[in-house]
Amino acid sequence: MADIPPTTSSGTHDVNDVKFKLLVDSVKDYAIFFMNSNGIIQSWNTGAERIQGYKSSEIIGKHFSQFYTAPDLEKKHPEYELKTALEFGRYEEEGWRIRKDGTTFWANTVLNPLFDLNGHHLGFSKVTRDLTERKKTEERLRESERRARLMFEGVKDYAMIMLDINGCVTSWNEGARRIKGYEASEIIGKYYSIFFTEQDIQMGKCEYELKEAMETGRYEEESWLLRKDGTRFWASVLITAIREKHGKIVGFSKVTRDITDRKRAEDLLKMSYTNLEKRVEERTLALRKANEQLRIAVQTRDEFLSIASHELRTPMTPLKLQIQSLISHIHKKTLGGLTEDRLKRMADTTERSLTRLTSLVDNLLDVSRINSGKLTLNYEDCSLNELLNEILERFKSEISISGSSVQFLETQRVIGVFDQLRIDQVLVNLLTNSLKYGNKKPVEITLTQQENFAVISFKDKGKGIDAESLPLIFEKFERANAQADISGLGLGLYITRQIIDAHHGTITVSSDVGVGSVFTVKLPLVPKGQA
Amino acid sequence: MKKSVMIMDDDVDIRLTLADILEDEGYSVTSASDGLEGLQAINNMTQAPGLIILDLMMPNMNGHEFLKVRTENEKLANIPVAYFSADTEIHSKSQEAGVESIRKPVNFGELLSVVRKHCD
Repeated sequence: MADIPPTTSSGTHDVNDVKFKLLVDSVKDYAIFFMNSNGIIQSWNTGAERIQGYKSSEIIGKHFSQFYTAPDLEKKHPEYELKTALEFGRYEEEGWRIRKDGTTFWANTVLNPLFDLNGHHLGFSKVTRDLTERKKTEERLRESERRARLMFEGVKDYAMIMLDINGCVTSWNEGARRIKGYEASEIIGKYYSIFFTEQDIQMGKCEYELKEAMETGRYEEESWLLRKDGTRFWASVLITAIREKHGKIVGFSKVTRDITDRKRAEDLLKMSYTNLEKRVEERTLALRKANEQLRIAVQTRDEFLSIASHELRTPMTPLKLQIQSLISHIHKKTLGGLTEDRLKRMADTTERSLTRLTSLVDNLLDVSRINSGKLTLNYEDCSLNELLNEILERFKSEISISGSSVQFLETQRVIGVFDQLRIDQVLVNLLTNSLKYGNKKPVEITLTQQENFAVISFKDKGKGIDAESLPLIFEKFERANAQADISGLGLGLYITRQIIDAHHGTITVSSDVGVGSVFTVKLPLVPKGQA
Repeated sequence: MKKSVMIMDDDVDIRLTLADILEDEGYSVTSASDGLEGLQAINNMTQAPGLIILDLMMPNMNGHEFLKVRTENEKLANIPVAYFSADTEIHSKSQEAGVESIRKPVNFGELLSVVRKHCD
């Protein structure tokens, strides 16, 4: 313990001195010792022993310079301290000191000169604190700050900048330079609206962002920002308010990432998704339409089969009855009683019924042929005058039964190259149609040649076809009078049209309800390609 | 004495055939090519026919229209009618209308039995 307390001028130890000595001795966290004017240690407290490692017996009487490092000693730092303390009344510093065991510690030392009441310099008091821990903490902090700064500056993929409380740029990193294109020197101090589009500036977006960050601590969004060169990029932005210890906001950190590529990919994905959705929708619609068409086709086919069956059964009726009646007469041996007229009618009705059946079956086969694209033409030279006259002769009995008279007006000879059997079919169809719908009134057939075309028309004075049905009559299974009570498959005009099309000709119809109809066929005299 | 038969059908071959084979069997037959013509023919007859064989699909006045006129006409209402059609639903249609039905093509024997039932 300290053996030599500071002496009073009288050199006596009073009670206060003793108390003071005890107080100083017991202090553990501070090394407190006294030195004479030359720096020789004269007292040593508990704290000094604890901090510097010497017992009082080991150190009293020694010069205080032994606590100093070699460089300090070399520059006579201990002497400098004493001199300065004496000169200015106090000397304080922080520095490395050496313990007894040779280890160093970071010390805060305060050196005070001591004087007696007469002003004589007695020596110095020195108070030393071990601040090694604080020093290390400070150094660690400084190191981590340095690293953080290095990291902050070095980050390339993120623009990390600091804004002051007013939104002006105070720091700028490599990422910011790369993403936004400004050098630190040209952007520090600028208001950060420089990164915004004109529209955003006018909307007050900058102020809104900082206000939001101030109120909630952060502001986050994705939006378009501008580069120095005026191009825009899609940015992910996070602004964080920076607070001091006491909570006062001193500025903002702003981290920006350029995610234009991601945005483009997303947009592309969104677009292709939308496109896909659209295509699915279109496809669904198309399928629904196809389905509906199929349903109609099936329905049409069913109706057709029903009509076909009906139509085939009608001519079968006289055929069956006539034959069965004949058989009955044979059994009853009454054949001899049948008159010639009766036998002739039997033959006629059976023959006509067979013709009708044949024609119906032929029509069905023709439709099937047309549907599968197998309608082929056998061209040959053909006189339409002869053909029409021959047909009128062939249909004498049908004409007579129909009640209509037929007038054939041939102004000139018309000869061309056609499939004669098919043209025969066309003309028979148009003739029987005129008879069927002619309402027992005269039918007029004209044959002319107009340039390289043969023109044949069938004019009746029947009930006519209403305007609504007119465009449909050349379609399959259509009949203008479908609901009216005239039988027929409704295939005749369809087949007629197909045959004329195959000849590269045309068929047209004009009709007035109650006045009658005119069907006009125009056929090239020479097949296309052979002209 | 056998009653006469009235045939209404727009198919001339059917009319001719039915007339011939029924006349062979001793019936007198009147033919018409549609309902309207048939109506006129009946009006001109002194004795009502024993049976009307009625085609359904005919111009001017079809079978259904004729049946309606018949039902509303006191003189006609009692004349038995047989629908005569190739229609697959002819039997149910005739039942609904309360008339006979003969489906085309009919057997000679079947036709005769319906005629006999009403005209003998």
